Amino acid sequence: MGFAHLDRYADRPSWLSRRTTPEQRLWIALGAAFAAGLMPPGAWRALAALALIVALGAWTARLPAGALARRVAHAIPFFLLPALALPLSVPGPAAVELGPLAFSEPGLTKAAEIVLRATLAVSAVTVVISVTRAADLLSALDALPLPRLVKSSLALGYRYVYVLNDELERTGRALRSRLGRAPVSRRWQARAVTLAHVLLRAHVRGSRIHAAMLSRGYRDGFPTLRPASTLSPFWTVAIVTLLAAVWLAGLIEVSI
Amino acid sequence: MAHIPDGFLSAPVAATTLVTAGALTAYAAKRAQTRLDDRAAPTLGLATAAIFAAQAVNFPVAAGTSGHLLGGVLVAVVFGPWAGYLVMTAVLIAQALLFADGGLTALGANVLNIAAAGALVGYGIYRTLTALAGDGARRRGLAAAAAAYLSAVLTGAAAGLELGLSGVAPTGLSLGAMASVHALIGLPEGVITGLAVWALARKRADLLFQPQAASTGGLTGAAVLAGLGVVAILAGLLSILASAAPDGLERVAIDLGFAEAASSWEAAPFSDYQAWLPGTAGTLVAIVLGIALLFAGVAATARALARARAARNG
Repeated sequence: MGFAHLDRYADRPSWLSRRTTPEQRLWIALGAAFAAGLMPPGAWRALAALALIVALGAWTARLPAGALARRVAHAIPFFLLPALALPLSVPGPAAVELGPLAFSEPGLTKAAEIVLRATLAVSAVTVVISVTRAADLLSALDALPLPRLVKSSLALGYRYVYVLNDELERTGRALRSRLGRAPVSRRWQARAVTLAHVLLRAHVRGSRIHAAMLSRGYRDGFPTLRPASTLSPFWTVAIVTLLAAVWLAGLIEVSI
Repeated sequence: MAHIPDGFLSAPVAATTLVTAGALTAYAAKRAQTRLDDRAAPTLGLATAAIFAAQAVNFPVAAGTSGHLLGGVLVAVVFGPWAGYLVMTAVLIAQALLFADGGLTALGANVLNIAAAGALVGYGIYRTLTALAGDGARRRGLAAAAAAYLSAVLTGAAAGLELGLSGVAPTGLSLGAMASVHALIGLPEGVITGLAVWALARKRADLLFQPQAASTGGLTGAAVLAGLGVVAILAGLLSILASAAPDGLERVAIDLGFAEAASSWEAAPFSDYQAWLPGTAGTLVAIVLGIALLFAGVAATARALARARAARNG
């Protein structure tokens, strides 16, 4: 297991990756997610404009269409399933009737809107994150107003998830080869013991790292050798402005 | 759907939950830092890695579907409620950014539903139950199972409430649907958590989180009170929003009204409504001015952020 598959397109030169730093791309991803995710209901034209911008962004990032589609498709069930329940549950005049099932018109509209908003937000974030290495993204999180402990948890979690995952797989394999035809209750117990084991390992490993950090003179936070970027934030500001403008246009579209 | 994606929550609900979760996270960081001191960073980092690894393990739920552990109660029982809350928050941030699992606009809601309901409220339930029933290994396991199950139902109910207030579906309906779905999802969560805590309490009870001796009752009270406080604040804020914003059902009607207004406006270009609007040139000027103002605002914010950062680093 690893994050290598996430970094597959991160090192390709592209318009987007040349003109923005990972930190700036994080702000673009946030801007896009907020513009798409919080687009007011009924702002169809603003939503269409946003779709155009996201498509343009995917083009400037030089992501293969297939790869982008695969990554977006992975997230689709998370919002498609709950959205599909809406035409059946939101009250209103029925648009389509299939035997006992009545798909209400407001429900269908709402479901279409939610699926569009969610697809756009996921696509935009996927485009921006795909051209950024996971490690760069995590160090870019420094720019966000998050407590230091959350940031260090993310950094250390990224560093050690492989170690603990290998541990989990090894224990799991050993258990499976010994359980044979054990009854269901025994299997559940084995799963739970594996989890308990991993938490134990995390505890022990954590104290070891703590000792190692102290012996190396650890004092709050991790020293990094990240060169200061001289890249102008012009394009980032321009893109975020464009996204904000489209969102405001959406607000205006529904209020007039 | 424990993780709410982008596109489901309305702007007021997203903003309220983001602000509440942000404040709670800052407070939790303070509490965890005081308790763990310089052990905080490595302990929480490894716990984050462990929960990440644990969530990769799927177990069968029913009818061929599979789910994975959320782990809020489990991590809180081992590392403490505030540390557990921070670990779950870090996991949610990574999932939203790297795997598009849960939306960025819904991050505040997801942190409240999963991290606060699991690690804070769930731990409060666990602590209360062990205080009442005693802390043998088996009793701890049962208490953890009950806490994990109840907090999973709470996760569903909170998500249902947020979706209802966002006008996705009538509140009663979404609340009931989400809570009952999670009453099912919560079963394996409860069983696995209970068995894992039982195993840990039998083998290495010394590694489980111990409330500080001086404040044995205090910490329980603090965790429960914090959980209740968050719920109360949220309920208060959201009820204000709910009374200001129309109820789900009425909201749908208004949305339909909007749709009608928009289409009639398009069909009758020379209506009074249209005449009232400024001419095309005026609109263009307004748009250009608006975008220039927005650009200036975003640039100023970016510069201020960069300056603040430089000041902090330098």
